[in-house]
Amino acid sequence: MIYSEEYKEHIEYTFAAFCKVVLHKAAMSAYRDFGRKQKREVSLEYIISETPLEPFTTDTYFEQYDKPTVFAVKGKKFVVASKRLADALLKLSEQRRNVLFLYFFFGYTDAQIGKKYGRSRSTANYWKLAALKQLRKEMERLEHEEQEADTF
Amino acid sequence: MRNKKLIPFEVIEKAVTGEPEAIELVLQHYSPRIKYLSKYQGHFNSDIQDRLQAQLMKAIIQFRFYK
Repeated sequence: MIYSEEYKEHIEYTFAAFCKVVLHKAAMSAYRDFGRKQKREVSLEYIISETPLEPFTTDTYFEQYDKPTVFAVKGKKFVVASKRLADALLKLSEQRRNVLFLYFFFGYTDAQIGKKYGRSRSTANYWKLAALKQLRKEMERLEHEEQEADTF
Repeated sequence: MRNKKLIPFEVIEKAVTGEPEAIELVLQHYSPRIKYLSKYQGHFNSDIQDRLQAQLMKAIIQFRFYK
């Protein structure tokens, strides 16, 4: 397209004005945003010195147990820190325990577990539910025992 | 006689189509203005400068002059 000289000049002025307006508006909103940020921003040193709480925590592992119980499934080792859970898991049969580990730690689906044992998906589902039920029972029993031991 | 202080029409034409060199030229042309506007509470603020540059770039490619 051919533009006349006057039109080109006109566009040059228009563009210059356009850029000026854009920059001005951008600057205004930038000042506004920075002002807002400054109003609410608090320095980290201030928070650390003013709050009574520690600014960070460190997790502790395996400190409260003499010997954490380790289960080995499919070449991977799982450390169960909770003593009650570990005891209850030990009461389960080998296979039920494996099903639970496969399901919750390896992320297997029912169908995959079933395939692994050469059974159907619904069978695997039943194993899982039965294992969970037994686990709950064992844990409740252990809790009872602990409570009884406490009272005497 | 065109105004020498303005960005030439040919550059504008290229810049609006998103050509990097032309946009760079426009940014350079406005860099003193951007620097001046980047002063916040009496101090130069590079965050504001980046923001202004980005917004100008965004605006250049939105500029339309043909009817």
